[in-house]
Amino acid sequence: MSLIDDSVYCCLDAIIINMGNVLVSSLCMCLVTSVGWAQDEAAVDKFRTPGRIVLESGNQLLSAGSQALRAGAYDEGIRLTHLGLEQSGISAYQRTAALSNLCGAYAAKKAPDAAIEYCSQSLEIDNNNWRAFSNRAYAHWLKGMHTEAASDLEAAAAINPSAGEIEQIRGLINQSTLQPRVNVEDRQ
Amino acid sequence: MVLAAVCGATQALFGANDSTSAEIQSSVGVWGCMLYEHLASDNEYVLMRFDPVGTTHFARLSGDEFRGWAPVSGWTARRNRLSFTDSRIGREFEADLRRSSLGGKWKTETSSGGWWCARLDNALADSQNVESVNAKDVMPPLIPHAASTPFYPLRAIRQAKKGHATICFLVESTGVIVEPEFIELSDEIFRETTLRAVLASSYRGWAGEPAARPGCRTFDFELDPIG
Repeated sequence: MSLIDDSVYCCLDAIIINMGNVLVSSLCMCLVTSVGWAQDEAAVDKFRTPGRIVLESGNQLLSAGSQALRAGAYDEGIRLTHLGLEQSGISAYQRTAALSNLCGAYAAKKAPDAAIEYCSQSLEIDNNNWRAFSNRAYAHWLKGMHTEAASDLEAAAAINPSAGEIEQIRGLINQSTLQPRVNVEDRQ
Repeated sequence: MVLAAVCGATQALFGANDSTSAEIQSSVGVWGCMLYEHLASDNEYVLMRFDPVGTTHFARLSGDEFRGWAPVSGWTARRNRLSFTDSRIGREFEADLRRSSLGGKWKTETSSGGWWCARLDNALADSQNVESVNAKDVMPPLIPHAASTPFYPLRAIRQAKKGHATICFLVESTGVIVEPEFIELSDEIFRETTLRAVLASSYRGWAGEPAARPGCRTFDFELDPIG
């Protein structure tokens, strides 16, 4: 069994927050929706012919879509991913990853309703996909639905506690739900 | 003065606390000290005298004047750490002698706090001299002139970190704050913002002696749920 991680993409979303008079460039929001196209040996063998090994065994449209998304070409990535999903012979794993990618892409485009829809579809197929939970948490945060965002984030953290993206989204939620206060006491 | 402030701020900012980078001072001499207690708003002023033979004396305030020197305990200094006890109320003091001025934390069985001192003229070591001195002559009141509030670090909000910091410093007769030192710091994340706020603050100056008096400022960083 080998895993080819050929389509991890990252959308960078710099948010400048003006806090007091200090501009804080705070966030490189890395909304990662990676698709590890699984290829087991049997699947690879189907593409082996004497003297030739076909390295691309997954859905080429989905691969191209994920690459476009990774490059930040969200509209093109979404188009290719939709086309890829219409192809026959897509595994449940590929479908859940592709739907999660669509979710991430729409979230990156600040279209949280569509993002939530695709993440939910992805989770209906596989509710152990932490990226779908984490992407949906981000989409919920975009909508100001902090309770739902926190719930999704906890689910993501339960599956993959070490994912850095989860901490980043948790930070966004904290920033939206916590009011800072500094009490000063002079001792003289 | 500016150089001292910059050096002190640099050390406080980066937490320089090793003996190679910070001055190790002797506690011997007379000090004007303020003591604060956690969870209490009142502060206490006392003169402390550390004799070369290892004895500690306090001159406490009575009204506006100090009573004469009274022995409280011996003092010991080991590994840059000064310790002594106010035997009257069982208050145990400790100080890191690598700091820019004398001070640190104190505790009893039921309470705790901090203390910070400014060196005074050794002529006050004489009981007659100290009894004749007015408190305002060694500990002039500090009236804020410019008070800066630290901003809550965004990183701390995102990590849902609360905390507190206490910085002690000397106020020169011009009202300028110099030689800030952290007595308490719950998390490094609050160091820079706290220090910047203190150094951006000042007090009204005073004429004459003393050249400097101690002061401290405590910051509590709190996060409240919205809505």
